[in-house]
Amino acid sequence: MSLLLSGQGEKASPLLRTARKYCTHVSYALTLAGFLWLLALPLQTLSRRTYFSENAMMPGQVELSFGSAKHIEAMNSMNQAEQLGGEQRGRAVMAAFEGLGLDSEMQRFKHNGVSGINVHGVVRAPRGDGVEALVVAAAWEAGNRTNADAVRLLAGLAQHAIEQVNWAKDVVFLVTDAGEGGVEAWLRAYHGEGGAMYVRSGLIQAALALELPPMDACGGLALHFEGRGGQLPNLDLLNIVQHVARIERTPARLHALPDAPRRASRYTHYLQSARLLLRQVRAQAVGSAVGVHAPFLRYGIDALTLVGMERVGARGGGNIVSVGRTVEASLRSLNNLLERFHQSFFFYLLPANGLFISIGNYVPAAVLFAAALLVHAMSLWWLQGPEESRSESPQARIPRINAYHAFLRRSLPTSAGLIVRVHALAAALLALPMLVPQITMTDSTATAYLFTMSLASISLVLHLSDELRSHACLADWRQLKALVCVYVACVVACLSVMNFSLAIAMFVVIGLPLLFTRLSASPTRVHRACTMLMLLAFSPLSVLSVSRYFLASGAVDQMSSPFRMFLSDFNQFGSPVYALICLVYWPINLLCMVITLMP
Amino acid sequence: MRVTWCAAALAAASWSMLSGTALGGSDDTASDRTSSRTSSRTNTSAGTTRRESFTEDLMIKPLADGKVLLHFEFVIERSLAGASNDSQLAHHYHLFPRQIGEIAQRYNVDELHLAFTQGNWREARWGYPPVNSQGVGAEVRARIRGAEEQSAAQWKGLTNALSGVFCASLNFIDETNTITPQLTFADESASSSTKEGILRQGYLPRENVCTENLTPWIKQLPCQSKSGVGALLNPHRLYNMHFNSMGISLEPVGRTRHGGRPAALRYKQHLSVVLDPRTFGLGSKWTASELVGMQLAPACPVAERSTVRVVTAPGSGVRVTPAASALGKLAGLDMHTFDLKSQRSMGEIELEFDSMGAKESPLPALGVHRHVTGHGGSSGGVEAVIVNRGGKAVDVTYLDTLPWYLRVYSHTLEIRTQRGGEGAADADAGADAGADAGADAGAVAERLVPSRLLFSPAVDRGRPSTMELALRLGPQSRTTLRYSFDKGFLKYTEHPPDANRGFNIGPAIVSYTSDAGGGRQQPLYCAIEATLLLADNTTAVGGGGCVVRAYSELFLASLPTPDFSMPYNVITFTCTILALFFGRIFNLLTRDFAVLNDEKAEKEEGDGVAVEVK
Repeated sequence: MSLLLSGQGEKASPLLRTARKYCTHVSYALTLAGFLWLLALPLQTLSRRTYFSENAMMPGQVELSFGSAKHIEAMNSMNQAEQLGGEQRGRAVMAAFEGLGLDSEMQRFKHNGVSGINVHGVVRAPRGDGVEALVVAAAWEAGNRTNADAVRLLAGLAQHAIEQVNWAKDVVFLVTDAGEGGVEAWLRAYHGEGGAMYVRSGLIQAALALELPPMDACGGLALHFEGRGGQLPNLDLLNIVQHVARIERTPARLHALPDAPRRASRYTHYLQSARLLLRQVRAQAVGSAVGVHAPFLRYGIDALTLVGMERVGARGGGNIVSVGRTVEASLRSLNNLLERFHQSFFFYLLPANGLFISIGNYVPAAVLFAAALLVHAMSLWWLQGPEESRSESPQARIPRINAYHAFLRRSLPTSAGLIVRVHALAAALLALPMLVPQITMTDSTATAYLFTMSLASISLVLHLSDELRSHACLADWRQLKALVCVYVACVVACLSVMNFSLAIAMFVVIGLPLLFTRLSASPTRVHRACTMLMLLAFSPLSVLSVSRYFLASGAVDQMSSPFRMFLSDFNQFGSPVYALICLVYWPINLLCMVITLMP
Repeated sequence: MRVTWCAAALAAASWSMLSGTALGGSDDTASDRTSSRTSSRTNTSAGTTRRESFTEDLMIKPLADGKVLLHFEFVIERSLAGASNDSQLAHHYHLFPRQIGEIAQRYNVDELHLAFTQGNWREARWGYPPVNSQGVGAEVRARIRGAEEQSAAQWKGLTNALSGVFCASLNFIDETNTITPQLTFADESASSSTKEGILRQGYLPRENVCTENLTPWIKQLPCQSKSGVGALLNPHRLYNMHFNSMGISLEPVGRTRHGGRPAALRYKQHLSVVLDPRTFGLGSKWTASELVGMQLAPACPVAERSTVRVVTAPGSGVRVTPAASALGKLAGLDMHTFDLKSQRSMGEIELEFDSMGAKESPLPALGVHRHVTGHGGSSGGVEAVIVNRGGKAVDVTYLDTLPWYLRVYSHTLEIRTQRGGEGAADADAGADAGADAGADAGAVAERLVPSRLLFSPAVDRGRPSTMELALRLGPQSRTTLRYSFDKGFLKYTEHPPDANRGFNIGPAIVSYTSDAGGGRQQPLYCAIEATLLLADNTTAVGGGGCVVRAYSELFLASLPTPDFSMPYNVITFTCTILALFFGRIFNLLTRDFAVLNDEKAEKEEGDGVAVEVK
């Protein structure tokens, strides 16, 4: 404390005095630096070429054999199932798996309002001890399109796997008819957390999900790899798939974005990288996963989705068999995994195919933001004491410091109490729909609910500011803002090491408005009104409403309300976004309003 | 690990030589196996009293899914009747492997079972296993005479000696993976009144089996792999398999009622493999030699019996040529017996299949599967499912052992049983999963109370936790056992030095008495015991039934693992950070900086400057 207190006297060291003087400016400079760092991420100087960290994987070094007549025959065995629906389809898939010689089981599930049928078949490693497994999964439908080709390919791969004698791990083939929810239910049963399952294998080390929309010729693959909570699979898994896909001439592109042509200008490269990064940041921050791989990541299983892409132009590309060979090669490489995935990177951004930015190179942006908030908090803390006269003698300092301590004793509980009260309200209001089980929330009810909550919270803000106005001596806005700044800095810093994209998003929606809330000690009415308008613009209500259009190009259905989506993701997949909105975003926004309206 | 093995092997070898010299010092210390074998041959030809007998059998059984089971069994019986004293017994070996005899004698071993297994026996597809020890890894069981502490030391010596003999890492069996089961091996343990000593079981679930284990095993055969059935032991084929179990067992037979010396010692070596003929490019018609890639040789000269038996399901459409020298029944199946002894030159035994994938063999009455539940590095659970496919209630014992670093919460043990609906009995065979609709499966399951429960909790770095339950399983039922554990955090030196994916945890064992007669439902193991062994089968059959055991799969316990290359970096890095930054910041925060405005200080300062100038 003495450092903080000593900043107030003229006896403080010149360095501290200067620091105190320019503190606020430093915090703005740091914020700017953070944004500049973000803008610099697409530059190739911050990225490195990807490489295989786990040498034992040896991708692309086996002779592939997928594509024989027998495999095609197995693929056709699914044709009959395709015509059926519901349980009959499940039975048909199971019969097909049994016919191929897999140990299989059908799972009927109902979990969080999603119900459906999962069928899985296990190819047991002939000589292995059966304690590890790889999973290949496909859903009957992907989005609104049929994904029957992927299920067909799965059967072909199962036939191929059962012929192979060199498996060290079991291979599990999973067909679900409820997309991500189905996989989640399957994983729950597999891990003994709900529902019964009798045909099992060992610990799942990696999973690949397939999506093949109907198309004439496959021009390549798109890779989706972000999980619901922003989890990422090990970079080596992505490397393997990209490497073997290139060999099979079905190049695997991240988020379906091709690289800029090699001869293109630096500007084009920059733009293309920026687009790819934006897609990743969006997917990671929002947790809107594209593909059924996402639930695996929550169970600590490295997984990704391969999506077939229509060929552009008349030449090149491959067909379903080349996709199958890519999967075969990936599985064979994963089969070589001696340990768990632990080498390479779990935290990365990928600015282009074959390039990555490691955590050391991108996290400084978030750190700069957190530092900006901390410096800002420090400057406010120094300012909060009563003004002092320059001519004050050292002896006169002691009573002043005592008075200051008394002030702290008085006002700290008030500020802390304010923070707690706002949090309690926001948490209660937003936790309501969670407490009601299986709520059938439509888009319109979600919007109505959001509106109601906003009204309720704004009335709370008004009530609080009224209360503060009547007891002006009780709280100090500087202290409250400093505390909130420290709190937000903590949130941003902690999130940045788990989910960088979410940390940045949180900073933009709460940190930035907070920095610009109440810039002067006694703002004018116009000033206050403008700040309030800005805060309303950054409030969850407006941000969630606007983000519908921002998210529309992604996986999110344009018509669905993001609020409802976050809620169901939270319930179903444990995505943290909803909890963050409830427990951090909303209350901080309200606290900013309180700070603005405080005397 | 390899280094340790070799050291152990050397130690054991030199040890056995030493003990041989110390104990015997007689003429045959230096005599090798060949000379003893010649002497035995002369003995037999001379017609003197036979002390040891040897039989060799091979059973070929096509399995339901097109694979083939080969089961080799070599039995040496050593009569103890005529021996007047111990030393006479100790030093006169003819066919009986001397190394095993000496080890048994040195460590007071009454009964010994050792099995190396690779690949899971898939009972839902292959039916009953031909052997009782079919858990993946290496398993040693021995009953050692003497008091607890003394026999513990003997057990240590025994595993080390066996480690040397079989070139396996059995020396890693120590107190942390040794248990003394009370119920499960009741047929072997001291609980039956005529037996004494403590039965111990050690399990190494991570043990790989390969030719280096097979070679010493073959060396113990009187004719090794030179003639007879043993000539078919071709490692190239035996390890290109789906299941391979190799083992020995030493047990006393014909013991007198009042616990005296048994009439004979039986030493059995067995090897069961499941091969897929399609792997070797064989179609629907192949010969035994083609399957194993070796020629059948004439019977081993010292063998009293040398047979190849082809066992087929009646009406399965398998044609066996040439015509067998005898036709019989084994567990309700047709058995074609070819006697190698009576034929001077053995031709080919050819099997022709009408259709690939023969008839369904009967599923075992009981199956056990065990899996790990939960995810993450801190806790987990075990879920074991025992399926009773039979129409009768069965009394079983369930044995589950977990190493100390999985800390079992015994209060979480929950046993629920479910009377089989349409799918319960064969759902794990995959035929029908109609009854296992996740949500309603739990509703009809009712609690099952074990009639006996023995639980010995683990001691950290001491002993594993052992759970033995005596359960009565209803007919056509499925019983689920669940319990949870916490994962311990190991010291970094306790992780194995090799690539670390986690720890293999040994199987759960369900043991029960089968009283199915000689019909098709008779377990294969019991049928083999009753048919292939010449002698009275008093040891295997207790009270009219035959004890059968089913082993579950292994599971992988993945513990929180440090990145072993990192600690050094982290330690140095954090120490630097602490030293450089923490100290300074701490100073700044705790000290109150103030300028002292007394003149003294300024004076001193001035002095200091002056001093410096000087």
